This record gives sequence, C-alpha cells and structure tokens, in this order.
Amino acid sequence: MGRTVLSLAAIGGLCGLLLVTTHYQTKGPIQINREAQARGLMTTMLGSPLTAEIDLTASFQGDCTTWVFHKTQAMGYAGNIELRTLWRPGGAMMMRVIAHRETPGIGDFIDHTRDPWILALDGKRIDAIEQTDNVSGATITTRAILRAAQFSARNIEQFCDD
Amino acid sequence: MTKGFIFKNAVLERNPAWAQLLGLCPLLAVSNTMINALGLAIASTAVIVGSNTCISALRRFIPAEARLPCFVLIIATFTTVTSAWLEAYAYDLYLKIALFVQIIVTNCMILGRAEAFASRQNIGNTVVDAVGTALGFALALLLLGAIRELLATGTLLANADLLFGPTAVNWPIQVMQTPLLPIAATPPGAFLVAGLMFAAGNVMLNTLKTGINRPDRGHSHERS
Repeated sequence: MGRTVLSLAAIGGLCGLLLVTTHYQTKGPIQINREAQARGLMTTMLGSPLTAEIDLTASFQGDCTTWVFHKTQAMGYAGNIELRTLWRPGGAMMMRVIAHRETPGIGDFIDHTRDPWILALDGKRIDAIEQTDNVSGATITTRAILRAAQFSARNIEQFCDD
Repeated sequence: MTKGFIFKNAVLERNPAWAQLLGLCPLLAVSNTMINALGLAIASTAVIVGSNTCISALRRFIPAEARLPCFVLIIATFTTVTSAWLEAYAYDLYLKIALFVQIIVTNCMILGRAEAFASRQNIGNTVVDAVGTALGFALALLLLGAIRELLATGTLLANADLLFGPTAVNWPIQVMQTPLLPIAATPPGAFLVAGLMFAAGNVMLNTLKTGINRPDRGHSHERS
C-alpha cells in the first residue's frame, strides 16, 4: 500500500514538474501571440488601427464618447470562452470570441472564422441580442455567449456612468 | 521480436488507422488539408513517442491496479506540453487545430499502445513501436489530407506557411483549376474518402500477402 502511494505520488510529481517547466518555457511567446491576435481582431472590429499605448490586459479600453472594448469571459460547455465586446454610443454591440474549448462541429459555431452565427449579432443593442434563439444541440454554449453579452452591457453602462 | 519486425508491424500490418481504425476522430476532423494533417501528425508523434517512452521507463513503478489512470496522466501531460509548444511557436496552426490537439489525450491509439506494448517492453522496443505507430498514423493522415485537399480545392500544400513560416508562401501547388469533389472537405466527405482509401489499402495489402504466399513463389507449405 505504502509503495503504491509513493509510486503514484512520484509519477504525479514528475508530470507536474514537466508541466511547470513547459509553462515557464512557453508563457512569454504564448502571451505575445495572444495579444497580437486580440489586437488584430479588435482592429478589424473597430475598422481602424488601435494605438500602441492601449493596454490589452485591462478590462476596458476606449472612452464612452467614441467606443469601448470590454474584455469578458463566460463558462461554456467545455471551459471558459474568452470574448471581446465592442460598444458604441447608442448601445450597438459587436462580439468576437478570442479563445474557447467548445466541441468541434457542435459548439464551435461561436468562432466567427468557422460560422457566421456571431456576425448576425453585430450592431444590435443588448435588448435585441437577448431575444436570440438558442442553437439546437448547443444550448449551454449559446447561453454562455448571451450571458457574456448581458454582463458586458451592464459593465460598460456602469463604466460610462462612472 | 526484432526491432525491424516491430517497426514493420506498427507501420503496416497493425497500422492504427487502416488496420485497427483507431484515432479516427482527429484523423477525419483535421485531414481537410495536407498541412493541417501534417501539424496533427507531428503533434501526435510527439505525444505517442514521449508518453510511451515515459511509460516504458516507469513500468516497474506503475502499480498494476492503477495503471490506466497513470497512463492517462502521462499522456495528458505530454498532450498539454505539445499543445503549449504549438501555441508558443506555431500559433496560426495552433488556432486551426488546437481543439483536435487537445483531444489527442483521448486517442485510443495511444492508450492502446501504452497498455499493449509500452507497459510490457523495454525502452528500445517501445521507442521503435511508438515511432512506427506514429509513422503509420502520419502516413494515413497525410494521404487522406492530400486526397481530400486535391478533390475539394484542387491544390496541395495550401497554407504551408502556417507550419513552415513565410518561406513556404510559394509552396502550394494548383493541380486542378476546378475541384472535382468539393464535399471531400466536409465531415461526410471525410468518411467517404477515408472509407474508400482504407478499403483500397487493405485490398493492396491482402493482394501483396497472397502474392507472397503463392506456391509458384516458392513459399508454399508443400515445398518447405
């Protein structure tokens, strides 16, 4: 019994060590890649380049007189879905998924490069977005996106009020 | 059991794709282009060689009653490591195949070789078997990827720059101007092309075996 526990602990420890080492080796390049992807996507959403000074790690970017980006996430079927929401005065919203782990072929319709579903929400206000039907077979994924939209709308409103 | 026999067996006769029909989910999902197929083949090779070598090295310490959780833990570790390296150094390709790299951990081809071979053999034999199995899987992936891409878009090596960088921008070859079978790029097309390809492969292998065993080749039981 004691030997079994020791063996399992040693194997778990070795795997943990390998994961920690890999994390420290790759976290720099991964961060750079993710920021570049987010910046590219936000530039496309906005239709004009973002200035280099904009801090992409902050929750909000921009100001309420022109546009505001909100960084948010929601729990999908298979893990966190990371999103960016663009809000313009008047309440028109645009959302894009930055990263997700939804099931290929079932829940990955939220990725605008694979399916135009999320593009259909472009320019709508939150009250119209809330009326969107769930996608059959991917209810949890759809609800996650709609919850993220409500969360973003609420937070951006609060951000602008402050 | 010689290393040559183990290797030949792993690549051809016990090929995970066309002989055992294992690991079909990523195989069918990612083989829509040759470059996607090559990316998954490299990722699967890293996972199977790394995890099975590790399992073979630790086989005397892995408790028999907890061997499956241990195998899954080791395979999951190597899958995560491979996924992180792809995300760090081949990000564009990672965005396309990330979901399928993550499910390598559930690929029964890898767990099957861990249970049937790596946990019972020395490191040398395990490495040969793992490389052979990975090569067999890669062969099936690349062949399927090439046929599907050719039928669906008329090209070969499209988006090679995702894997090989800017130097590969001019690598894609336009073989046909009009695609013959656009459905080949879709999931139903993957099943059709893979089914026909595996059937053709098995017919060829069986013909080869029958030819070798024919009496006029001098290998019959009557003459031996």
